[in-house]
Amino acid sequence: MKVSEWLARHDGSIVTVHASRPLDEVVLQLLAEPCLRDVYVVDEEGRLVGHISHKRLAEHALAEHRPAHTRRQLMERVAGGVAGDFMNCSLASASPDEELEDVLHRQLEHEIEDMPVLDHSGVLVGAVNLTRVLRDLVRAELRADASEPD
Amino acid sequence: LTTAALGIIAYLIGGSITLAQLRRTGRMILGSTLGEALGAVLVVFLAMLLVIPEGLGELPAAFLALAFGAIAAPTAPAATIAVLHQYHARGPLSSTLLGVVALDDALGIILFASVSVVTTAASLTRGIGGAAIEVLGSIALGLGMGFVLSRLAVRLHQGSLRLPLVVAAVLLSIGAAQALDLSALLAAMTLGFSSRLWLGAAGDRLFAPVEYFEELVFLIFFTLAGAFFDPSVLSGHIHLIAVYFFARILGKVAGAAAGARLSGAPPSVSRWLGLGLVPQAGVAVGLVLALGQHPSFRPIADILVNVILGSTLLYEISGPILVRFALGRAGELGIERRRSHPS
Repeated sequence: MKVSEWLARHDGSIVTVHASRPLDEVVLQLLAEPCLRDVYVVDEEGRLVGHISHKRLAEHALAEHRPAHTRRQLMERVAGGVAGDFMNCSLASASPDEELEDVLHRQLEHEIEDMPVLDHSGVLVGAVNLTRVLRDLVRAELRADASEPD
Repeated sequence: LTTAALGIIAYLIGGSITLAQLRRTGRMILGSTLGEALGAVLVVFLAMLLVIPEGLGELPAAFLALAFGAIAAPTAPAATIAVLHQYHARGPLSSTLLGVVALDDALGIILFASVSVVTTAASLTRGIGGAAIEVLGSIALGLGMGFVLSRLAVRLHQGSLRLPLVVAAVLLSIGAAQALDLSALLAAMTLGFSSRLWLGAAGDRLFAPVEYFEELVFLIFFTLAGAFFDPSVLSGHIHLIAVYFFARILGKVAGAAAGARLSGAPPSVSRWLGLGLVPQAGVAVGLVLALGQHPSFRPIADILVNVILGSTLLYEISGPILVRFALGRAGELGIERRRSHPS
């Protein structure tokens, strides 16, 4: 199955923000989408420029409730920042024309839960969620087992 | 070992701050940090000058006093953060305290490195020009090494190789600095700062693997310092410990008050900030160990280390109590807020 087909069959919605968005607002935006975990940072044309994991956002949002910080976390708590300051710019991505199996291999290799899918001009069009792919595969196998004669 | 361990701490301190964060931090925190750090250095220098006898070691008493002054600036952020967290403190003093403890180790290292340049014999023979070359050369070395490290980090895709890469870069910077008669501390701190500068937001990945080392490095400092611990030296120089202890508190309180007032802080901040900055621990112990390694200070290394160890013990006992006292007087303890504003 191609990635584009998988995206067409599933709700590939994602949370996107611009790099200049304050991080506190990014946290609120993500919390408004309880099913989604990560945030993608895009430029004015919608091209992917970075990624902020939910763990990184939680670290920032919950800093006040933690009894100890690293020096970096302490400075981030004091100075705050915008999405561009916290994003990871180096991330793996997939293309809509790729085979889902190849993408899965890369996801497992790089330990990525949501693999961003970019079109030929670098615009973010969706994300392949590892748990959903796994659910589809397990269900398909169960159906296949059930249909086999004893 | 001490220089390498201190180099890792300096790298982490340098990398904890970005230019964008400095711009956002605001005048009040920057002014207060400058005031409290310089205040502690100045008051400790003057007070120690009065009590250090001439003939203690090979250097003039003024240089020894300046060395103690340079160690006085850093605070131990962990104790302050723990007290703020325990009492759910919130308000202008709490947020200024957090900002100041986040910055003052960096300023402390810069002051220590600058003072070391002045007090070491090598610089004395080279004069002011030589001292300037030493400082600027260390910064240039750190910037260059930071650039190389950031370029290598971009090409490195295996996360497991980042730690050896960073440790190698820190050790190489320290080694090059020592070979060129530059400041290893300043070079390592600039390495941390510049590698994050060149890498932008992705610079975080060069620090996360090393941050786990910080506690281990402090463990090394205290173990090495423990080897210097000598009850007879400690009791024989109890007056130096007492003067250093009280002078540093006085310098922090007066300097923080002046810095905060000049930068427009409210009275609750300028009045109580200094008392929140008393804790001092690992970085100061590391700095005094590094100082004791220098040929000029080696004959009196045991006195230097025992004075700082004795005062560290006092600061770590009294520091958290004073932080709580300051927060209470400023009305920022969570318990008091709930009492005065019952829901």
